[in-house]
Amino acid sequence: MSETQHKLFTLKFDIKNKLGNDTFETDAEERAHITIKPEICRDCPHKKCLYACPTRCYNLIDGEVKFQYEDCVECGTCFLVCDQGSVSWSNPQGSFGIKYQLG
Amino acid sequence: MEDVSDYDVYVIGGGPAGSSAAWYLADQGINVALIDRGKPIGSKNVSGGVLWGHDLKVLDEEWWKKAPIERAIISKKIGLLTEDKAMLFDWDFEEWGHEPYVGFSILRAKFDRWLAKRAQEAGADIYEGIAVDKLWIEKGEVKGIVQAGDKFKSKAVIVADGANSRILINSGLLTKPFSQNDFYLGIKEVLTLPEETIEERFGLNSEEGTAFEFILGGLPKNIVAGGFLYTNKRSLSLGVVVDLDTLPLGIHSYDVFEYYKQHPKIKRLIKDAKEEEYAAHFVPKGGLHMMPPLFGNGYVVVGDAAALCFSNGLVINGNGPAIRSGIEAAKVVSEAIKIGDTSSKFLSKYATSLKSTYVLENLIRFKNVEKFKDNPRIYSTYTPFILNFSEKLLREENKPREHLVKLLKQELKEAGINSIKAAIDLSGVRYL
Repeated sequence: MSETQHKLFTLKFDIKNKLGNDTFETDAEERAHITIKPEICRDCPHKKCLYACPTRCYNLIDGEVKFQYEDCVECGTCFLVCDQGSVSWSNPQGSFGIKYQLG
Repeated sequence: MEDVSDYDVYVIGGGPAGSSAAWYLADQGINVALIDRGKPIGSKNVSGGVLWGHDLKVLDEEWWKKAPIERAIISKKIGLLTEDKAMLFDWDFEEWGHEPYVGFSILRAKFDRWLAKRAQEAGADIYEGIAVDKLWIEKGEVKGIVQAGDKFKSKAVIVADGANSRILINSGLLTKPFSQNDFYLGIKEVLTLPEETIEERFGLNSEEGTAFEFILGGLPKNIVAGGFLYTNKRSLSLGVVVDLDTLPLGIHSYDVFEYYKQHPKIKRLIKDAKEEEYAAHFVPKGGLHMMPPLFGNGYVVVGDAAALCFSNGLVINGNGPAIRSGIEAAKVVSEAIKIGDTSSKFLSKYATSLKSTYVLENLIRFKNVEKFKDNPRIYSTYTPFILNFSEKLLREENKPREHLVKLLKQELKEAGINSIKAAIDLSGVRYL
């Protein structure tokens, strides 16, 4: 069996459907705790953030990497897979962000 | 006014390490504040879900009778999964089901809230929903903490903010920057099921639980990943850990989780379970190579922030070392406050005492375990081979059979496995 036929490639799975189960407290002032530098992302040879982020906060829209912080669970993955220096990472202010009920 | 401080000690992070430290310090009459960015405290915290051992006994002889534990682990299952095959070693240990018990499944948001509350009852002040920026450092000495740009003085700080510690990063206290090679990404979902269904399905009595861990073999592009399943009282904790370094472009991290969840073996185990909560969190690979300095002038580092978690592929333990390191740090810090010496030299006693416990001893003893555990061929080559070979060995088709050794040789050849290389890889077992 060829590798590309592996089930991993055929999953039609949308993570966004699942995130409704999670509790978030969103910052009304929309202060993003993570920011990216689009000019760096544009030339990024791998754009691994698109794949590594477990809540798909990074998306390619019209060829540009876009980050949306609302579904971020603050795991830190993007900060570590970005070796181009684009991702600035900080914890959300106050008690904003993910609020695990079970953990 | 320079010398005035509200607290002797700030503990940053309300996980098992931080709350245990705060509880111990409060018991010693130390003026301690426990600060967590989650509100309620612990609501940023996630782990696979088992607390092994009894490190908490130092704080409460009968802690498990009061703590919100889910089930006592009485059986352990370690298995291999490929796309359409599964193999499982299944152990039952009756003695694990009686006092003193060896491990409990827990849900961290509940458990951590309880632990922090115990620290509070002992006298610690709790601050929830507060993100500390970094340590306040002057001339190489930690003077306190910086929060929202303001400085707060203390005699010592315990850094307990978990994996990928922002406090250490922002304070410039890492020996080398963390890399994606230092962590697994843990992705987990809690799925609810009725209590009776769990007990029937997994062959458990009331209060008893089980722990599954799997190697996810045969994934494309040599992805290194493992899966777990733990039984809670009325839910299952299902998840994967993915070696981020091996995650190829084109495959989403959550696809690995979804693939695992849809595996026929897992599908049967989670049948009819309702999705309750999805979580993702870093799991430090742990070990000496990624460990930041454990102490310095005026501060110590505990738990995942110090990469003090252990896994050799057979046992996985992060919560236990977190609690133990929190307590060992608190013992030294409490002594330091009492004699008025929080210098690096004095606080080095924390590292010394950790070396005399399993926490650091295991990491030293198993410093090469990754050579075996993270060997990609275990995942990409040997796991599929073992499953394919055993399928042929066990299948009866009313035809002449081959002897085991001959079949093994045939199959090795067919799978293109170089037996010398395989023997070298297998000798890595000595690192376990």
